[in-house]
Amino acid sequence: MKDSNPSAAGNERAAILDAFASRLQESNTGITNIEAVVAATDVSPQAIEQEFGGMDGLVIALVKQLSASMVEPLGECTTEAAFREQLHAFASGVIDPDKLAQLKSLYQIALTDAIRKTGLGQQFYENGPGLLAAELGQFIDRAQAHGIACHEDSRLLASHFMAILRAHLDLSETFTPADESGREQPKVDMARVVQSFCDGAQTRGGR
Amino acid sequence: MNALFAKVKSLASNRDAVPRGTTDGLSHVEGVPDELAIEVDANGSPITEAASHWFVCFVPGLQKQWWHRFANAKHKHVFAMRAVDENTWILVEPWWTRMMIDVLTLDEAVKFLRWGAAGDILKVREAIPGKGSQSRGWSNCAVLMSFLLGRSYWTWTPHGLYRRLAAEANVEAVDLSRFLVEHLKSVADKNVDNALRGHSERSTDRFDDRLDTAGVGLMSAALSDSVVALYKVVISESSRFGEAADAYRTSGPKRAIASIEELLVEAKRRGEIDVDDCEMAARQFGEMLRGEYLSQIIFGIRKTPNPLEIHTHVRSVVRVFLQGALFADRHAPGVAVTGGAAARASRAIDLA
Repeated sequence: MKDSNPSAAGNERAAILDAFASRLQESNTGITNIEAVVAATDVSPQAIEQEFGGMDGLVIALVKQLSASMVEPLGECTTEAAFREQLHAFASGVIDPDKLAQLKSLYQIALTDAIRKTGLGQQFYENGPGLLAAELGQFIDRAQAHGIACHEDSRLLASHFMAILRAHLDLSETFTPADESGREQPKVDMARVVQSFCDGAQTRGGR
Repeated sequence: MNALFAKVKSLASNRDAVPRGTTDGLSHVEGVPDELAIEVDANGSPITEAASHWFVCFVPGLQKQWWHRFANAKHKHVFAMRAVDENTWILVEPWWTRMMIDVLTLDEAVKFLRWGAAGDILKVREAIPGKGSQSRGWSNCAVLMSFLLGRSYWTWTPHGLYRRLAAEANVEAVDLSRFLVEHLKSVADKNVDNALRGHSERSTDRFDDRLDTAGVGLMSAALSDSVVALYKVVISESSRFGEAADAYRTSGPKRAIASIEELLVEAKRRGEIDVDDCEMAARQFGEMLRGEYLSQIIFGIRKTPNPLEIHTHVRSVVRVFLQGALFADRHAPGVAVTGGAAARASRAIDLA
């Protein structure tokens, strides 16, 4: 019988999400399906069905939770300095090793599902990478309203920033398992990422 | 009895030669128009196709069946697939209840090939016109695959068919890992070659125009159906086929990045750009070209962008890559700006 205490139900849901998030963070092999992760936890398929409506629901809940934590730093900014600072904070959140490991695992799971045409792919994108890009686009919109950032389409600017970040993480092509010494720690010069995006590569003489 | 049997068999197969064309321009077959009779080839086909090579996959069962105990441990089922082009495969798989014929992308085909690799895969050339016969009785998967290949083998088990095909002179066993290394490398090489073909080599071209030309070529290639399929294979299968993933990365993305890096090194030497690490800058540019498009295509949000969308995106990438996301603030009244930059800034504002 379902627990009638909403607080207890919410706690159970949060506990399951935390358990899976930890599992995904620890994983250093190529996970391509959520079932393998379930098998490695104490969470029963029945509990997943009850709390999330099934495996797909669990994957979506995980990516939603992850995305929400990543976009937290993006608020209002009225100066260029604040704009750079919040971009820096956002990027730092994205490349946090624990969050990054989760994101990579979820991406592989969703991509494999997309190949198998199970219907998970679209929801994953809309609640994951697409959500990050959309929130970043809105942040840039607000900055443009204050005269910060150029008049380029904010969605394109968001796309460019995410791309610069991916390049520094080498997320584009590298989904190899970590070597035996442990999980790879990306060494990213965040100031360089923000500078590349804000200032460009061209010299004054080249303009 | 044998003579009767042979006669039944002969009735079931057509051994009459049908020469292309007719001697008098008439079909002489009721219901068949004369022009159709003229067009068929010696085997009776409207078109003449070269014999294809099939990957015949002898596989273990994926779900337990009651009859598995009577079949070979590894070869409980058989199906066939073949490549149409670098990104398209045909799958023919007899089920109990239907014949599944599907057109697959490369990443989908690899899922079936992995199943094949769990058993054995043989590369077999089909026989045209073939020596199969329709008077075979019960048509299970082994019988149907034998018929597809034009073989006359009387065997009703996948393993039985496997032994007969493996004994043929020109049949090869397929090592899936090796096949994927060669295939991914070949497709990646070809796509990068096509992408780089449009690069302008003239030193009189402005740097941003050269980046623009390179960008359009690389973005078009990176988001093409075949490269997207390669990417999906690599991400999904890299833990199982690491060598193939490495081959793709070396022939595809690394070569593309190297070509951009070359341009940037040149520009840096001329004092047009100020970057510490041209290789990293090239990777940034490459990623910006793919943008959100790659993920959107993979997850079914949108289709490949059309040429206009590509050009628009590349121009934005070049602008932001060179001038940064804050560049409009730098061109305040009274500040001298070169013609190119002013025009670009003006265009950017007009588009807003």
